[in-house]
Amino acid sequence: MSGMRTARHIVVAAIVLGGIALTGAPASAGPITFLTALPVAQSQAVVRGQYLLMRASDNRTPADRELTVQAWPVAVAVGITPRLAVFGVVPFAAKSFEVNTPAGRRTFGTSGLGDIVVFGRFTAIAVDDVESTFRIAPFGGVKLPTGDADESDDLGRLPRPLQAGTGSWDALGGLAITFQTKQWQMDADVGFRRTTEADEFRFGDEAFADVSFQYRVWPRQLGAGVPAFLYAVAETNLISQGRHEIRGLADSDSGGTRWDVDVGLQYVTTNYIIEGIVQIPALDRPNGTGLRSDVRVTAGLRWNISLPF
Amino acid sequence: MDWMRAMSKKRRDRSRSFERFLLAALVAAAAVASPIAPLESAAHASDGGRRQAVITVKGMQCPFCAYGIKKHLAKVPGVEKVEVELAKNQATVYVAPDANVTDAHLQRAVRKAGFEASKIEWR
Repeated sequence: MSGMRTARHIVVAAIVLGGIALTGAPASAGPITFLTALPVAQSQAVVRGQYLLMRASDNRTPADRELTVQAWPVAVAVGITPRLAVFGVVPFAAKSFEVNTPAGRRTFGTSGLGDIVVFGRFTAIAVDDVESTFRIAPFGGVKLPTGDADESDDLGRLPRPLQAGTGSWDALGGLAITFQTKQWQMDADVGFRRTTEADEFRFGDEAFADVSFQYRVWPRQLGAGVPAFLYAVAETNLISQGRHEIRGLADSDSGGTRWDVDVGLQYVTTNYIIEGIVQIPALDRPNGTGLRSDVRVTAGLRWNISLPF
Repeated sequence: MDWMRAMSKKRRDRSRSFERFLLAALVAAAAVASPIAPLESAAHASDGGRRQAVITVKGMQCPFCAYGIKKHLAKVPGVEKVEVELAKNQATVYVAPDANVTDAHLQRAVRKAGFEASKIEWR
């Protein structure tokens, strides 16, 4: 039993990945891993379903820890006015954590509804031209504690980062910028997520910055009507997370900085978008003995829906 | 004197021939310059005289964005059909003959989609 408890301490101290971040937020065609500033038409909804596979592992210690997260976030964006859109992200996730213990290799896991994120985005600046559009849109919202944060097994309550939800109300905000032509598009965002404490545990605050470049590779020449586009996508994501706090004390083995470089493809039609991207860690500096991220894979589908009101 | 009368008649005939040639050339040139014009008129007649408005939409750059523009223009009462030409940044609306569709209606519809109608040309 003491071996199991040791394993539990390792888990608590080691897992870096928290809840599902602000991925899966749709709007128009645009970045795959973050938010665009392009408009959602009034009385229109964009629904996005995604599949995400994330792995984080550690071969620096005999514990040989391995975390696998599979997530199916469903995101909906509704155009309230031509400039204001409201977004909701409902994540379903399955988390599995394996670790070597004195009693053998152990697996811990949870699955279910995660924390729902609700936020608004307002297009503050829109410069439309025949050959381009430029948008700046601040966004802000809350992460609700809808996911179960009290899952337990025979050893008691599972570590907080392994729970489906965080249990806390968090605030997030940022700024999205988009420049789009018919041949290429560039998006960028910067943002911040401020966490709160729940049940004596507080996840580290996060700051993030992302850039996306999409280049139309097909068709080479635009034909009549509205042809479908195939974009080659290159993105990069920088995220820095502070240390978690347990009963007010910083966990030295949590948080850190990660920088990913991503390559993907996006097929855009009038009604739907099919997209896929691979996120490759270019830099991963977890604090202490935190886990290092492996390659992440995301595949998704977006639908345009006209609302009756 | 007879030969002078004959010369004058020849000149008049030549002049008439030239006028006829000029007229024929003008008619032919007009037909070549706008070969579709008569067809368009016929199409209008068969459409019951419905009108078209060609709207230049600023900011429309990708297929996914065109969706909202098409949907909002189609919702304008009196608009029977909408066609979008992404390459030209144009949306063409076909309006019923008795409908009261104005530039303001079309501009509002494009604005609801999040874009700007810069020019509206009625045909």
